[in-house]
Amino acid sequence: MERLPSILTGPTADPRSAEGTHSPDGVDLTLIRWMLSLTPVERLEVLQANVRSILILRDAIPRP
Amino acid sequence: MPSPAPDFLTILRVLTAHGVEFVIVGGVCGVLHGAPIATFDLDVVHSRAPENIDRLLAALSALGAHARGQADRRVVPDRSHLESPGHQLLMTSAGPLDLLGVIAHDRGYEDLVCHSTEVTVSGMHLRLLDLETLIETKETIARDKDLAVLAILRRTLEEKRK
Repeated sequence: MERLPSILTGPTADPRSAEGTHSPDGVDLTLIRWMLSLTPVERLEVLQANVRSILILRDAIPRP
Repeated sequence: MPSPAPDFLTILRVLTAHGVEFVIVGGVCGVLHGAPIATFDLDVVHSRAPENIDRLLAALSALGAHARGQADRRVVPDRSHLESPGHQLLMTSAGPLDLLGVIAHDRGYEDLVCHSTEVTVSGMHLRLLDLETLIETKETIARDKDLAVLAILRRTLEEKRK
């Protein structure tokens, strides 16, 4: 099966990896490694998609 | 009426098309460096040189920029606003844009540009504050919202250095 590009699959953690998934202060390192695997324009597209999703959810909340 | 969802690429395209000199700082800068953080506005420190203000005014006109938080009043930024070291919090047709005269104890464009790095995004050559200096400015400003993202920025820098 053809593999999807990383920008569509999101972060993945290889369970065999010796590297941890979180830093001692709780930062999710899998997200950082995933973002670093993207190009700058892909990173910006991820941000814009996230912000749009948040705004769609916010606007779906009925206002009193 | 709801505000437009941010379209950072469009704002950047208009600024660069008008030849505006600026350095991207803030959350979008962090994201472009690879930090998984969210932000709803684009923060830039612009050159306050007279010819750059001319170009910036033209770009802001193309973007329909006006001050945020003015209720029914539509306040369009003028030359005096953009020449000041203050922060202009604007809404544009492509979303929020913050124009910052200086950040972190009077650091303006001329000071920050030598701590910036160039990236090419969709054919645009953009100047980003380098990640080390972004972290340094957030440590200096040290508001709660800056401190909230510092751990992610520091870990991003560590991962990049591996």
